[in-house]
Amino acid sequence: MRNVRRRKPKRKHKKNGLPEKVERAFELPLGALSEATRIELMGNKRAVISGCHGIVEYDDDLVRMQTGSGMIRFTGRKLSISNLTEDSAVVEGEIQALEYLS
Amino acid sequence: MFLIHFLRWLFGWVRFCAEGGFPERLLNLAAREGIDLWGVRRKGEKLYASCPARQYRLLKSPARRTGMRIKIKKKHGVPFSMRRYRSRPGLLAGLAFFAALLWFLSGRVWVVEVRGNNKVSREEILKVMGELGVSEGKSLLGLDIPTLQLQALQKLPKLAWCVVNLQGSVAYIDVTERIPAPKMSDTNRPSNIKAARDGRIVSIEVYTGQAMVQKGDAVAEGMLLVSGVVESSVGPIFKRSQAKILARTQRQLKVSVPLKETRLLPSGRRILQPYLYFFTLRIPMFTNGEIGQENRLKVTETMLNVNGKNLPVGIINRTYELLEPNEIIRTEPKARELAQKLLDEKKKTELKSAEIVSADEKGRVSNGEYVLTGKYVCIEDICVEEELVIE
Repeated sequence: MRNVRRRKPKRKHKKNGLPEKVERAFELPLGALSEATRIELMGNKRAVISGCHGIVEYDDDLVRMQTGSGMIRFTGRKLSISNLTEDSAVVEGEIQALEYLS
Repeated sequence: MFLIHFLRWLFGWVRFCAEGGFPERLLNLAAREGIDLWGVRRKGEKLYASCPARQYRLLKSPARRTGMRIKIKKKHGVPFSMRRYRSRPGLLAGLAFFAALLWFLSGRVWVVEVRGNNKVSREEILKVMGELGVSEGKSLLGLDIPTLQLQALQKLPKLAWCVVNLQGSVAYIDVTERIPAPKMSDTNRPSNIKAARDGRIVSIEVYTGQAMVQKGDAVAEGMLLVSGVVESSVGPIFKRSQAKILARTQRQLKVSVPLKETRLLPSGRRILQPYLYFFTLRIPMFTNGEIGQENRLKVTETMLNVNGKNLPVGIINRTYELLEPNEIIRTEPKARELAQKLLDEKKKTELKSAEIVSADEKGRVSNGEYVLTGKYVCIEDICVEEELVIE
Protein backbone atom coordinates (compact mmCIF):
# COMPACT_ATOMS: atom_id res chain seq x y z
CA MET A 1 0.00 0.00 0.00
CA ARG A 2 1.49 3.33 -0.97
CA ASN A 3 2.40 5.60 1.84
CA VAL A 4 0.73 8.81 0.72
CA ARG A 5 1.12 11.85 2.91
CA ARG A 6 -2.20 13.56 3.45
CA ARG A 7 -2.90 16.46 5.61
CA LYS A 8 -6.20 17.47 7.21
CA PRO A 9 -7.69 20.64 5.67
CA LYS A 10 -7.40 23.63 7.96
CA ARG A 11 -10.43 25.15 9.62
CA LYS A 12 -11.81 28.31 8.01
CA HIS A 13 -10.46 31.42 9.61
CA LYS A 14 -13.02 33.63 11.37
CA LYS A 15 -12.47 37.39 11.50
CA ASN A 16 -13.04 39.10 14.82
CA GLY A 17 -13.08 35.71 16.51
CA LEU A 18 -11.93 34.97 20.07
CA PRO A 19 -8.18 35.29 19.34
CA GLU A 20 -8.64 38.79 17.92
CA LYS A 21 -10.77 39.81 20.93
CA VAL A 22 -8.13 38.54 23.35
CA GLU A 23 -5.43 40.41 21.39
CA ARG A 24 -7.40 43.66 21.60
CA ALA A 25 -8.24 43.16 25.27
CA PHE A 26 -4.65 42.53 26.31
CA GLU A 27 -3.22 44.97 23.74
CA LEU A 28 -1.11 42.22 22.23
CA PRO A 29 0.40 42.67 18.76
CA LEU A 30 -1.88 41.67 15.93
CA GLY A 31 -1.21 38.14 14.82
CA ALA A 32 0.25 37.04 18.17
CA LEU A 33 -2.69 34.71 18.79
CA SER A 34 -4.76 34.96 15.63
CA GLU A 35 -3.82 33.67 12.22
CA ALA A 36 -3.28 37.01 10.55
CA THR A 37 -1.63 37.01 7.14
CA ARG A 38 1.91 38.37 7.05
CA ILE A 39 3.37 39.75 3.84
CA GLU A 40 7.04 40.72 3.65
CA LEU A 41 8.10 42.69 0.64
CA MET A 42 11.76 42.88 -0.34
CA GLY A 43 11.70 45.89 -2.63
CA ASN A 44 9.61 45.03 -5.63
CA LYS A 45 11.39 41.80 -6.35
CA ARG A 46 10.17 39.41 -3.74
CA ALA A 47 7.17 38.90 -1.47
CA VAL A 48 6.94 36.29 1.26
CA ILE A 49 3.37 35.52 2.22
CA SER A 50 2.62 33.53 5.38
CA GLY A 51 -0.97 32.57 6.03
CA CYS A 52 -1.69 31.78 2.40
CA HIS A 53 -4.61 29.43 1.87
CA GLY A 54 -4.22 28.71 -1.83
CA ILE A 55 -3.55 30.07 -5.30
CA VAL A 56 -6.65 31.27 -7.05
CA GLU A 57 -5.13 32.52 -10.28
CA TYR A 58 -1.61 32.34 -11.58
CA ASP A 59 -0.15 33.83 -14.70
CA ASP A 60 3.05 35.43 -15.87
CA ASP A 61 1.82 38.93 -14.90
CA LEU A 62 -0.76 38.15 -12.25
CA VAL A 63 -0.93 36.11 -9.08
CA ARG A 64 -4.10 35.99 -7.03
CA MET A 65 -4.23 34.11 -3.77
CA GLN A 66 -6.59 33.57 -0.86
CA THR A 67 -5.23 34.49 2.54
CA GLY A 68 -6.51 34.76 6.09
CA SER A 69 -7.01 38.47 5.56
CA GLY A 70 -8.88 38.06 2.30
CA MET A 71 -7.99 37.86 -1.38
CA ILE A 72 -4.78 39.53 -2.48
CA ARG A 73 -3.49 40.17 -5.98
CA PHE A 74 0.04 40.72 -7.20
CA THR A 75 0.47 42.29 -10.59
CA GLY A 76 3.72 42.73 -12.40
CA ARG A 77 5.98 41.05 -14.94
CA LYS A 78 7.64 37.63 -15.05
CA LEU A 79 6.03 36.61 -11.80
CA SER A 80 6.88 33.17 -10.46
CA ILE A 81 6.12 31.28 -7.28
CA SER A 82 9.55 30.32 -6.10
CA ASN A 83 8.25 28.36 -3.09
CA LEU A 84 4.86 27.03 -2.24
CA THR A 85 3.83 25.15 0.87
CA GLU A 86 0.54 24.50 2.58
CA ASP A 87 0.43 27.83 4.35
CA SER A 88 3.08 30.03 2.77
CA ALA A 89 4.25 31.18 -0.62
CA VAL A 90 7.05 33.26 -2.07
CA VAL A 91 6.35 35.33 -5.14
CA GLU A 92 9.31 36.58 -7.14
CA GLY A 93 9.57 38.79 -10.17
CA GLU A 94 8.94 42.43 -11.01
CA ILE A 95 6.04 43.28 -8.66
CA GLN A 96 4.23 46.40 -9.77
CA ALA A 97 1.21 46.32 -7.46
CA LEU A 98 -0.23 44.55 -4.46
CA GLU A 99 -3.95 44.85 -3.85
CA TYR A 100 -6.35 43.61 -1.25
CA LEU A 101 -9.49 42.64 -3.13
CA SER A 102 -11.73 41.86 -0.21
CA MET B 1 20.72 28.83 1.02
CA PHE B 2 23.63 26.66 0.00
CA LEU B 3 22.50 24.06 2.51
CA ILE B 4 19.04 23.91 0.94
CA HIS B 5 20.53 23.46 -2.53
CA PHE B 6 22.90 20.84 -1.22
CA LEU B 7 20.16 18.86 0.48
CA ARG B 8 17.99 19.00 -2.59
CA TRP B 9 20.87 17.74 -4.72
CA LEU B 10 21.70 15.06 -2.18
CA PHE B 11 18.19 13.60 -2.06
CA GLY B 12 17.36 14.34 -5.72
CA TRP B 13 14.74 16.59 -7.35
CA VAL B 14 12.85 16.79 -10.63
CA ARG B 15 11.66 19.56 -12.90
CA PHE B 16 8.29 18.75 -14.34
CA CYS B 17 5.81 20.28 -16.73
CA ALA B 18 2.03 20.21 -16.28
CA GLU B 19 -0.44 21.09 -19.02
CA GLY B 20 -4.17 21.07 -19.56
CA GLY B 21 -6.73 21.22 -16.73
CA PHE B 22 -6.54 23.71 -13.83
CA PRO B 23 -2.98 24.69 -12.88
CA GLU B 24 -3.93 26.74 -9.80
CA ARG B 25 -5.92 23.83 -8.37
CA LEU B 26 -2.97 21.55 -8.95
CA LEU B 27 -0.72 23.91 -6.98
CA ASN B 28 -3.21 24.12 -4.11
CA LEU B 29 -3.77 20.37 -3.95
CA ALA B 30 -0.05 19.71 -4.10
CA ALA B 31 0.57 22.17 -1.26
CA ARG B 32 -2.19 20.56 0.75
CA GLU B 33 -0.69 17.09 0.19
CA GLY B 34 2.53 18.38 1.72
CA ILE B 35 4.46 18.34 -1.55
CA ASP B 36 7.18 21.01 -1.54
CA LEU B 37 7.15 22.97 -4.76
CA TRP B 38 9.56 25.61 -5.95
CA GLY B 39 10.51 27.40 -9.12
CA VAL B 40 6.88 27.58 -10.31
CA ARG B 41 6.75 29.34 -13.69
CA ARG B 42 3.93 29.80 -16.13
CA LYS B 43 4.80 29.67 -19.81
CA GLY B 44 1.67 30.03 -21.83
CA GLU B 45 -0.55 27.05 -21.12
CA LYS B 46 2.18 25.09 -19.48
CA LEU B 47 3.14 25.21 -15.84
CA TYR B 48 6.71 24.34 -14.84
CA ALA B 49 7.73 23.52 -11.29
CA SER B 50 10.25 21.51 -9.26
CA CYS B 51 9.70 19.11 -6.42
CA PRO B 52 11.71 16.53 -4.46
CA ALA B 53 12.17 13.28 -6.37
CA ARG B 54 10.51 11.19 -3.68
CA GLN B 55 7.38 13.34 -3.74
CA TYR B 56 6.86 13.34 -7.51
CA ARG B 57 4.66 10.26 -7.46
CA LEU B 58 2.39 11.98 -4.93
CA LEU B 59 1.57 14.50 -7.66
CA LYS B 60 -0.22 11.90 -9.76
CA SER B 61 -3.40 12.01 -7.70
CA PRO B 62 -3.75 15.84 -7.68
CA ALA B 63 -2.89 15.90 -11.40
CA ARG B 64 -5.61 13.38 -12.17
CA ARG B 65 -8.14 15.29 -10.09
CA THR B 66 -7.35 18.59 -11.80
CA GLY B 67 -7.22 17.02 -15.25
CA MET B 68 -3.57 17.86 -15.82
CA ARG B 69 -0.87 15.86 -17.51
CA ILE B 70 2.50 15.98 -15.78
CA LYS B 71 5.77 15.00 -17.34
CA ILE B 72 9.32 15.03 -15.98
CA LYS B 73 11.55 17.37 -17.90
CA LYS B 74 14.79 16.85 -16.08
CA LYS B 75 16.13 14.89 -13.14
CA HIS B 76 18.80 16.23 -10.82
CA GLY B 77 20.74 14.96 -7.85
CA VAL B 78 22.73 12.10 -6.42
CA PRO B 79 20.12 9.30 -6.69
CA PHE B 80 19.91 9.75 -10.46
CA SER B 81 23.68 10.04 -10.87
CA MET B 82 24.16 6.88 -8.83
CA ARG B 83 21.66 5.02 -11.00
CA ARG B 84 23.88 5.66 -14.00
CA TYR B 85 26.65 3.68 -12.32
CA ARG B 86 24.34 0.85 -11.25
CA SER B 87 26.09 -1.51 -13.64
CA ARG B 88 29.50 -0.52 -12.31
CA PRO B 89 29.62 -1.74 -8.73
CA GLY B 90 33.40 -1.71 -8.82
CA LEU B 91 33.43 2.07 -9.10
CA LEU B 92 31.32 2.50 -6.00
CA ALA B 93 33.26 -0.19 -4.18
CA GLY B 94 36.46 1.61 -5.13
CA LEU B 95 35.13 4.91 -3.83
CA ALA B 96 34.05 3.29 -0.59
CA PHE B 97 37.42 1.55 -0.26
CA PHE B 98 39.23 4.82 -0.91
CA ALA B 99 37.15 6.62 1.73
CA ALA B 100 37.79 3.82 4.24
CA LEU B 101 41.51 3.76 3.45
CA LEU B 102 41.75 7.53 3.82
CA TRP B 103 39.94 7.37 7.15
CA PHE B 104 42.21 4.56 8.34
CA LEU B 105 45.48 6.15 7.23
CA SER B 106 44.53 9.56 8.61
CA GLY B 107 43.98 8.14 12.05
CA ARG B 108 47.51 6.78 12.43
CA VAL B 109 51.00 8.09 13.01
CA TRP B 110 53.19 7.47 9.96
CA VAL B 111 56.20 9.70 10.50
CA VAL B 112 58.00 10.28 13.79
CA GLU B 113 60.66 12.99 13.92
CA VAL B 114 62.92 13.80 16.83
CA ARG B 115 64.23 17.33 17.21
CA GLY B 116 66.56 18.97 19.67
CA ASN B 117 68.68 15.97 20.69
CA ASN B 118 72.48 15.96 20.67
CA LYS B 119 73.89 13.47 23.16
CA VAL B 120 70.79 11.34 23.61
CA SER B 121 70.48 9.17 20.53
CA ARG B 122 67.46 9.29 18.26
CA GLU B 123 67.10 5.52 18.48
CA GLU B 124 66.92 5.65 22.26
CA ILE B 125 64.20 8.30 22.20
CA LEU B 126 62.23 6.45 19.51
CA LYS B 127 62.46 3.21 21.48
CA VAL B 128 61.01 4.81 24.60
CA MET B 129 58.32 6.61 22.62
CA GLY B 130 57.46 3.38 20.88
CA GLU B 131 56.83 1.73 24.23
CA LEU B 132 54.54 4.62 25.17
CA GLY B 133 52.51 4.35 21.98
CA VAL B 134 54.10 6.86 19.63
CA SER B 135 55.56 4.96 16.72
CA GLU B 136 54.83 4.34 13.07
CA GLY B 137 51.50 2.69 12.48
CA LYS B 138 50.06 3.37 15.92
CA SER B 139 46.62 4.91 16.25
CA LEU B 140 46.20 8.60 17.05
CA LEU B 141 43.04 7.93 19.03
CA GLY B 142 43.50 7.44 22.72
CA LEU B 143 46.93 9.02 22.85
CA ASP B 144 47.16 10.81 26.17
CA ILE B 145 49.86 13.26 25.23
CA PRO B 146 50.41 14.97 28.63
CA THR B 147 50.73 11.62 30.43
CA LEU B 148 53.11 10.07 27.92
CA GLN B 149 55.29 13.18 27.99
CA LEU B 150 55.72 12.77 31.74
CA GLN B 151 56.39 9.05 31.37
CA ALA B 152 59.00 9.74 28.70
CA LEU B 153 60.86 12.13 31.01
CA GLN B 154 60.89 9.46 33.71
CA LYS B 155 62.30 6.85 31.34
CA LEU B 156 64.85 9.26 29.83
CA PRO B 157 66.48 11.04 32.79
CA LYS B 158 68.94 12.76 30.46
CA LEU B 159 66.12 14.87 29.09
CA ALA B 160 64.92 18.01 30.85
CA TRP B 161 61.90 18.60 28.65
CA CYS B 162 59.96 16.56 26.14
CA VAL B 163 56.84 17.39 24.14
CA VAL B 164 54.94 15.52 21.43
CA ASN B 165 53.22 17.59 18.75
CA LEU B 166 50.91 15.91 16.30
CA GLN B 167 50.47 17.50 12.89
CA GLY B 168 48.26 15.30 10.81
CA SER B 169 50.03 11.96 10.71
CA VAL B 170 53.42 13.34 11.70
CA ALA B 171 54.51 13.21 15.31
CA TYR B 172 57.21 15.71 16.22
CA ILE B 173 59.09 14.88 19.41
CA ASP B 174 60.84 18.01 20.63
CA VAL B 175 63.34 17.48 23.43
CA THR B 176 65.77 19.52 25.48
CA GLU B 177 68.65 17.67 27.09
CA ARG B 178 69.50 18.07 30.71
CA ILE B 179 72.73 19.90 31.52
CA PRO B 180 74.30 17.92 34.40
CA ALA B 181 75.20 19.95 37.43
CA PRO B 182 78.99 20.06 38.07
CA LYS B 183 80.15 17.79 40.84
CA MET B 184 80.71 19.83 43.95
CA SER B 185 83.67 18.76 46.02
CA ASP B 186 82.79 18.05 49.59
CA THR B 187 85.30 20.03 51.56
CA ASN B 188 84.06 18.58 54.83
CA ARG B 189 84.96 15.00 53.99
CA PRO B 190 88.40 14.25 55.45
CA SER B 191 90.86 12.45 53.22
CA ASN B 192 94.52 11.55 52.74
CA ILE B 193 96.63 11.71 49.63
CA LYS B 194 98.67 8.66 48.69
CA ALA B 195 101.16 7.91 45.92
CA ALA B 196 99.66 6.43 42.75
CA ARG B 197 103.02 4.92 41.72
CA ASP B 198 106.70 4.76 42.60
CA GLY B 199 108.83 7.83 41.97
CA ARG B 200 111.06 10.56 43.28
CA ILE B 201 109.37 13.78 44.26
CA VAL B 202 110.25 16.73 42.06
CA SER B 203 107.86 19.39 43.39
CA ILE B 204 105.26 19.54 46.11
CA GLU B 205 102.35 21.94 46.56
CA VAL B 206 100.08 21.26 49.50
CA TYR B 207 96.82 23.26 49.65
CA THR B 208 95.20 21.59 52.61
CA GLY B 209 96.47 18.86 54.93
CA GLN B 210 99.85 18.04 56.35
CA ALA B 211 102.70 17.05 54.03
CA MET B 212 104.42 13.82 55.02
CA VAL B 213 107.15 13.94 52.36
CA GLN B 214 109.38 16.56 50.86
CA LYS B 215 111.09 17.33 47.59
CA GLY B 216 113.69 14.73 46.66
CA ASP B 217 112.10 11.89 48.65
CA ALA B 218 111.64 8.54 46.98
CA VAL B 219 108.15 7.22 47.41
CA ALA B 220 106.53 3.89 46.74
CA GLU B 221 103.08 3.21 45.45
CA GLY B 222 100.50 3.58 48.23
CA MET B 223 102.74 5.66 50.49
CA LEU B 224 101.12 8.50 52.45
CA LEU B 225 102.07 11.85 50.94
CA VAL B 226 99.64 14.29 52.58
CA SER B 227 97.74 13.55 55.76
CA GLY B 228 94.23 14.77 56.47
CA VAL B 229 94.88 14.78 60.22
CA VAL B 230 96.37 18.12 61.20
CA GLU B 231 97.69 18.60 64.69
CA SER B 232 96.74 21.86 66.31
CA SER B 233 96.77 23.39 69.76
CA VAL B 234 93.19 22.28 70.31
CA GLY B 235 93.86 18.74 69.18
CA PRO B 236 93.77 16.86 65.86
CA ILE B 237 91.68 18.47 63.13
CA PHE B 238 90.41 16.35 60.25
CA LYS B 239 90.62 17.98 56.83
CA ARG B 240 90.18 17.08 53.24
CA SER B 241 93.70 16.91 51.75
CA GLN B 242 94.38 18.74 48.52
CA ALA B 243 97.80 18.89 46.88
CA LYS B 244 99.72 18.70 43.62
CA ILE B 245 102.82 16.51 43.89
CA LEU B 246 104.96 15.96 40.80
CA ALA B 247 107.37 13.05 40.80
CA ARG B 248 109.82 11.51 38.37
CA THR B 249 108.49 8.09 37.47
CA GLN B 250 109.49 5.26 35.18
CA ARG B 251 106.83 3.85 32.90
CA GLN B 252 106.92 0.94 30.50
CA LEU B 253 104.61 0.29 27.60
CA LYS B 254 104.66 -2.75 25.36
CA VAL B 255 102.93 -3.63 22.09
CA SER B 256 103.24 -6.67 19.85
CA VAL B 257 102.40 -7.25 16.20
CA PRO B 258 102.30 -10.78 14.73
CA LEU B 259 104.46 -11.35 11.65
CA LYS B 260 101.92 -13.78 10.26
CA GLU B 261 98.21 -13.68 10.90
CA THR B 262 94.91 -14.61 9.33
CA ARG B 263 92.29 -11.88 9.03
CA LEU B 264 88.89 -11.58 7.42
CA LEU B 265 89.07 -9.11 4.56
CA PRO B 266 86.48 -8.04 1.94
CA SER B 267 86.47 -10.39 -1.00
CA GLY B 268 84.99 -7.79 -3.35
CA ARG B 269 81.68 -9.64 -3.69
CA ARG B 270 78.49 -8.07 -2.43
CA ILE B 271 74.97 -9.38 -1.98
CA LEU B 272 72.13 -6.87 -2.09
CA GLN B 273 68.83 -7.60 -0.35
CA PRO B 274 66.31 -4.82 -0.97
CA TYR B 275 63.08 -4.40 0.98
CA LEU B 276 60.08 -2.35 0.01
CA TYR B 277 59.00 -0.39 3.09
CA PHE B 278 55.31 0.41 2.94
CA PHE B 279 53.57 1.78 6.05
CA THR B 280 55.50 -0.35 8.58
CA LEU B 281 55.48 -3.40 6.27
CA ARG B 282 58.84 -4.68 5.07
CA ILE B 283 58.29 -6.61 1.87
CA PRO B 284 61.42 -8.50 0.75
CA MET B 285 62.24 -8.14 -2.91
CA PHE B 286 64.82 -10.90 -3.17
CA THR B 287 64.85 -14.66 -3.37
CA ASN B 288 68.16 -15.64 -1.84
CA GLY B 289 68.06 -16.76 1.73
CA GLU B 290 70.56 -16.50 4.57
CA ILE B 291 74.10 -15.46 3.86
CA GLY B 292 76.23 -18.42 4.89
CA GLN B 293 79.52 -16.61 4.96
CA GLU B 294 81.25 -14.05 7.13
CA ASN B 295 80.10 -10.64 6.07
CA ARG B 296 79.88 -7.00 6.91
CA LEU B 297 76.38 -5.50 6.77
CA LYS B 298 75.51 -2.01 5.61
CA VAL B 299 71.92 -0.75 5.69
CA THR B 300 70.77 2.26 3.67
CA GLU B 301 67.26 3.68 3.65
CA THR B 302 65.84 5.72 0.81
CA MET B 303 62.41 7.10 1.74
CA LEU B 304 60.01 9.05 -0.40
CA ASN B 305 60.42 12.71 0.51
CA VAL B 306 57.70 15.32 0.05
CA ASN B 307 58.25 18.91 1.19
CA GLY B 308 61.18 17.90 3.31
CA LYS B 309 59.27 15.17 5.15
CA ASN B 310 60.13 11.51 4.83
CA LEU B 311 57.03 9.45 4.07
CA PRO B 312 56.67 5.85 5.33
CA VAL B 313 57.25 4.50 1.80
CA GLY B 314 60.64 3.69 0.41
CA ILE B 315 63.38 1.18 -0.20
CA ILE B 316 65.68 -0.31 2.45
CA ASN B 317 68.85 -1.82 1.03
CA ARG B 318 70.80 -4.35 3.09
CA THR B 319 74.18 -4.79 1.48
CA TYR B 320 76.30 -7.73 2.65
CA GLU B 321 79.98 -7.36 1.89
CA LEU B 322 81.40 -10.89 1.90
CA LEU B 323 84.59 -11.47 3.85
CA GLU B 324 87.11 -14.22 3.37
CA PRO B 325 90.14 -15.22 5.42
CA ASN B 326 93.40 -13.87 4.16
CA GLU B 327 96.85 -14.68 5.44
CA ILE B 328 98.87 -11.58 6.09
CA ILE B 329 102.64 -11.90 6.17
CA ARG B 330 104.56 -8.89 7.42
CA THR B 331 108.21 -8.11 7.06
CA GLU B 332 110.07 -6.83 10.07
CA PRO B 333 110.11 -3.19 8.93
CA LYS B 334 106.36 -3.33 8.24
CA ALA B 335 105.69 -4.90 11.61
CA ARG B 336 107.83 -2.27 13.32
CA GLU B 337 105.95 0.50 11.55
CA LEU B 338 102.63 -0.90 12.72
CA ALA B 339 103.92 -1.49 16.24
CA GLN B 340 105.19 2.10 16.40
CA LYS B 341 101.71 3.37 15.49
CA LEU B 342 100.13 1.21 18.19
CA LEU B 343 102.68 2.37 20.74
CA ASP B 344 102.07 6.03 19.91
CA GLU B 345 98.34 5.55 20.44
CA LYS B 346 99.00 3.83 23.74
CA LYS B 347 101.22 6.70 24.86
CA LYS B 348 98.45 9.19 24.07
CA THR B 349 96.00 7.37 26.33
CA GLU B 350 98.18 6.13 29.19
CA LEU B 351 100.71 8.93 29.40
CA LYS B 352 98.21 11.66 28.57
CA SER B 353 98.88 13.75 31.69
CA ALA B 354 102.58 12.95 32.02
CA GLU B 355 105.51 14.92 30.64
CA ILE B 356 107.95 12.51 28.99
CA VAL B 357 111.51 13.45 29.88
CA SER B 358 113.26 10.62 28.06
CA ALA B 359 112.17 7.64 26.02
CA ASP B 360 113.86 4.41 25.09
CA GLU B 361 111.99 2.29 22.55
CA LYS B 362 113.40 -1.05 21.50
CA GLY B 363 111.93 -3.74 19.31
CA ARG B 364 112.73 -7.38 18.77
CA VAL B 365 111.24 -10.43 17.15
CA SER B 366 110.06 -13.08 19.55
CA ASN B 367 107.88 -16.16 18.94
CA GLY B 368 106.68 -14.97 15.54
CA GLU B 369 105.78 -11.52 16.86
CA TYR B 370 107.46 -8.18 16.69
CA VAL B 371 107.54 -6.79 20.22
CA LEU B 372 108.13 -3.07 20.73
CA THR B 373 108.87 -2.00 24.27
CA GLY B 374 109.06 1.63 25.36
CA LYS B 375 110.63 2.76 28.63
CA TYR B 376 109.87 6.32 29.62
CA VAL B 377 110.99 8.64 32.33
CA CYS B 378 108.09 10.95 33.09
CA ILE B 379 107.20 13.76 35.41
CA GLU B 380 103.62 13.45 36.51
CA ASP B 381 101.20 14.14 39.31
CA ILE B 382 101.15 11.04 41.51
CA CYS B 383 98.42 12.17 43.94
CA VAL B 384 95.45 9.92 44.58
CA GLU B 385 92.86 10.90 47.20
CA GLU B 386 91.69 8.36 49.75
CA GLU B 387 88.87 8.96 52.17
CA LEU B 388 89.85 9.05 55.80
CA VAL B 389 87.70 6.71 57.88
CA ILE B 390 87.27 7.98 61.41
CA GLU B 391 86.06 5.49 63.97
